[in-house]
Amino acid sequence: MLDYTISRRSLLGGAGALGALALLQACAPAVSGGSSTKTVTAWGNHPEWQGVLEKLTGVFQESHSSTVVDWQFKPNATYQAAVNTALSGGQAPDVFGWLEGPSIRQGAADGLIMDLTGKIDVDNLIDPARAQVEFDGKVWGCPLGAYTVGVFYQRDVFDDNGIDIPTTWDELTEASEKIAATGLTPWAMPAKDMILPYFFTMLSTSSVLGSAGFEELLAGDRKFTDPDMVAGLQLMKDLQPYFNEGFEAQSYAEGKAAFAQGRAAMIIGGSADFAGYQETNPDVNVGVFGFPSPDGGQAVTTSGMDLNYTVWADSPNAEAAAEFIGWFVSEECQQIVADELSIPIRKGVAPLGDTETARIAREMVAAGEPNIPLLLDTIEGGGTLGAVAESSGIFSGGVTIEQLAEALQNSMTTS
Amino acid sequence: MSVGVATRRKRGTKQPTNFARAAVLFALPAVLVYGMFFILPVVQSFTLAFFEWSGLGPVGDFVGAGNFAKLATDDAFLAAIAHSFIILGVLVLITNTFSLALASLLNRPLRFRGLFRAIIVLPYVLSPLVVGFIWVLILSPDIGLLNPALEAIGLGALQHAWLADPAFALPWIAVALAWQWNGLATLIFLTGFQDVRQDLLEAARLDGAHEFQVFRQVIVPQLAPAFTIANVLAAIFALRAFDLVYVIGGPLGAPAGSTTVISTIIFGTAFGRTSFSSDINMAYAMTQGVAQFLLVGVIAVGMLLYFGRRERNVR
Amino acid sequence: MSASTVTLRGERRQPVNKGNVVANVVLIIVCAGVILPCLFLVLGSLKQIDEFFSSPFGFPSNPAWSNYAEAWDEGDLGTAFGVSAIATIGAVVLSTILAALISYAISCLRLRWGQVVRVVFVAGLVVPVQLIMLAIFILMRQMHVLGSVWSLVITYTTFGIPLGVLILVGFFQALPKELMEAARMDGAGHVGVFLQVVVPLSRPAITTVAILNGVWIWNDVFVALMLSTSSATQTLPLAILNFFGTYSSEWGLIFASVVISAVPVMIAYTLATRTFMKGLSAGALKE
Repeated sequence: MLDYTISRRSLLGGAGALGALALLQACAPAVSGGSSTKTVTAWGNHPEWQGVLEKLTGVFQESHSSTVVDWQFKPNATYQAAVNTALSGGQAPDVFGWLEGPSIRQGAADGLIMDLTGKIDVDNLIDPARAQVEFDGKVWGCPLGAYTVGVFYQRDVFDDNGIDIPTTWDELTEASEKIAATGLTPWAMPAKDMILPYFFTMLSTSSVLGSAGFEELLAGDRKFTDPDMVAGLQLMKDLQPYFNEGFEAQSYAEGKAAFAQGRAAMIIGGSADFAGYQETNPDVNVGVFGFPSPDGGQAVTTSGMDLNYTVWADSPNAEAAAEFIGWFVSEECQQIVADELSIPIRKGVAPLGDTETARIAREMVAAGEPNIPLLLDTIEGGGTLGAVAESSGIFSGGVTIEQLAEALQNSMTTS
Repeated sequence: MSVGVATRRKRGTKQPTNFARAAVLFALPAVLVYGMFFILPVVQSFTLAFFEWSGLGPVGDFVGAGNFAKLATDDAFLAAIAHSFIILGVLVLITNTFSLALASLLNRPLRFRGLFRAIIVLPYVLSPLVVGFIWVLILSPDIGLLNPALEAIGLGALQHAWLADPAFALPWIAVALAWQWNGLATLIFLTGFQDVRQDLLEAARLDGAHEFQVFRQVIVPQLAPAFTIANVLAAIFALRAFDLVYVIGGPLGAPAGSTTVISTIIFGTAFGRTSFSSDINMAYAMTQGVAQFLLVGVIAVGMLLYFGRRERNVR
Repeated sequence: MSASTVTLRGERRQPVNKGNVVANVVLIIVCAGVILPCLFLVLGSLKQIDEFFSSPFGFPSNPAWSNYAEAWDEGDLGTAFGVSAIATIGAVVLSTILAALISYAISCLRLRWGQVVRVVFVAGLVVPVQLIMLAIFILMRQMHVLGSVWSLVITYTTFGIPLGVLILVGFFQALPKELMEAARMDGAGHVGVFLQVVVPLSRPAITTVAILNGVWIWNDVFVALMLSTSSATQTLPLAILNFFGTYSSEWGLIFASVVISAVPVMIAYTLATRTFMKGLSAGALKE
């Protein structure tokens, strides 16, 4: 009988304590400050950039003392889910981003984001960045940074084995073969989410197209099913024997770690990947080269945008949010981006400094002449990543090269 | 106890209305909370299955059964269902053999029983996300644990890039899930063992029955309620698995789509299969969700009926 | 506990001991297999990133105990811990109470359409949570609790009720009606019978429900992710998720924070099993 008395009393006591606790939490002062400071909520998708972003924000707040920016991060894999839910649910952060490609246009069409024409200094944006956020005669947002993708390689492996930077496809295959003969895995190609294979196909086909050819592809005059383009896709299959064991199921992070620790000689990589290599292996000794052309022409790199940040259409802090995004184009912001984050999106800004990061960034920029925009960022090519992702059977033989070429071509929205 | 007898006779006539009213009052809080925060959202969400909607922007037109018709030809979804069923099979098998056996061992008066029990249950309390990562690393061909271990015990020939092989990836996911699930299944059976009546055991042993016969014919029937709960929960656990499978198989069910399960397909349909996806279809995801609900429901009810009947037979 | 199986009859003792030896051996092997991945978790938490990948299963050359402090600071685990604690304890308490009340109504008070109600509730276990999160998001927004821990408590409570109903209805049904009748004879009302007879007898079942719900709520990622519009709703799993970057991840910190996250669950489980066993022995002796 004693049992129940205790349990009833403790039940009530517990409930009371809990209620008090929860009440305290709910009534906790919302840090929106007085009427003078506005708090702008912003969602980012790279948690590991938190440090730099907060530094950037600090700089912004120095010159805009009445605004406080509160960053929250959702990991990349869940970013879209979180943003979509927030938008459809009716309560979104003041500032959030659209993944590169045509999605920002859909956002504008659906009335989910604010028209920022006149608030963003688009004239100082590099062309690919401008193309992302300016359409239908209006400006809708601003990216913070861009990235360029090329081929990272282990410098000492190449030096020790007398391998020169490949300038043709054959040389690339030969280099892979030579490296394999030494017992080292030539390529890290994590394919779990098909992102790096996608970039490989983009690089190889871009090396066939060149800048002029790229325009033709967008116009529909060139197709993925053209023989020389198919050859670019075939190259990936030809190099498959040189990919690391188990690559089909390897995640991006694991693949990068394998490369950084010298367990692979080459990897398709972007400018922002270097920081990750360094973290895994502080002594990493790598360089970058552009993807070689089929027969000795110009090597290429490809560039994409990081998030295109926009202001929520129903934001209560629209002015302050717009100001914040507008500031992204500024020189002081972009210099920090160039030095510590990724490729800047402002014309004329280059990474300064002697850090390894700066060296890689400069090498990356120089590696690709020309630098071809990523097909994913165009309206016509927005579906190409999906096409490659759905073709993961290419490695096991379930999907043929011809089928991949067709899938890619069908995903393009040209005539 | 004579008082009890007296009341039993009177029970039918005594307090029907009092009971009925009290029953409603007791049930009300749960019904209100569940109705408002669950039933309502479920109805709203599943209604979307009859419309066209990507998930962003205004909801599209009514399409009736259009989305449902798509299900029949959705190979990826059907493949995922097959994969989920394989996992279901593995978990049910493990539950009714391994976990049961483990529980019977743990039921003995062993010195370190508490420690053993704690260790065995431990996997279940870990986050499935983390468990997925651990298993990915264990199975990695480069830096893993399994391959070097095989080498060390002379089975080096069996080394393999496990998760990259469509023939092994899904089975290993099932193993990882079973590793977690076993913790709870064993606990459920262990609890069931506590209710096994010692006098019946003694009687059977006195009659000269072997331990195994005693187990099969005296203990197992008394474990019927435990069997029911263990199997039904195993089915739900298997068919709704998400975090762990997503971590090991990735958004595309690598390798070559062999590790997709119902939950990951639905997630991909709702929010995109790659991180740069504009190819989302929330309404269709709801349709798949309805299908999952019906599927799991049928299986769970089937199990409840099957095991429930055995329960009643025992009583 | 051991009293019931060890008898005074000499002939019985031999086989029991042999069986026990076998049992011990098997259990040791099984436990070794089970705990290996967990050990790896702890070992990994003490490594720096570079060693994490170069020797993931070896002992850390320089145990980085600082990983724990660093994880705590960088991930703001203190706040996240608090949020998770409130959300979990609150939801577990509320859902268990609500489930117990309605299970009592169904099993002992013969609620009209009780079996239908039971099925409707248990069916909730089968609904894919991801899909209804949008509707719940909207609901929470309309109630103005988005961004406060209440949104988590309400949602978790709701999702925890089905499991409670599943387990408790069966358990309550199996309780001896005579005790309830006796209590009523003594003048107890329905509440009295519930608190004096049903609840004390159901300790093991209630504990089981509490632990089962507690575990998944504590570890839940998805619901928290969808409802987390501010740092006031940042739970522990979300804080850990933040260590997974796109371009790099801080593995040592991740594992350290996972260990930190697992500790309370283990403690709760250990404590709860004692109540569990107490309740069980009360049940067994009653026979």
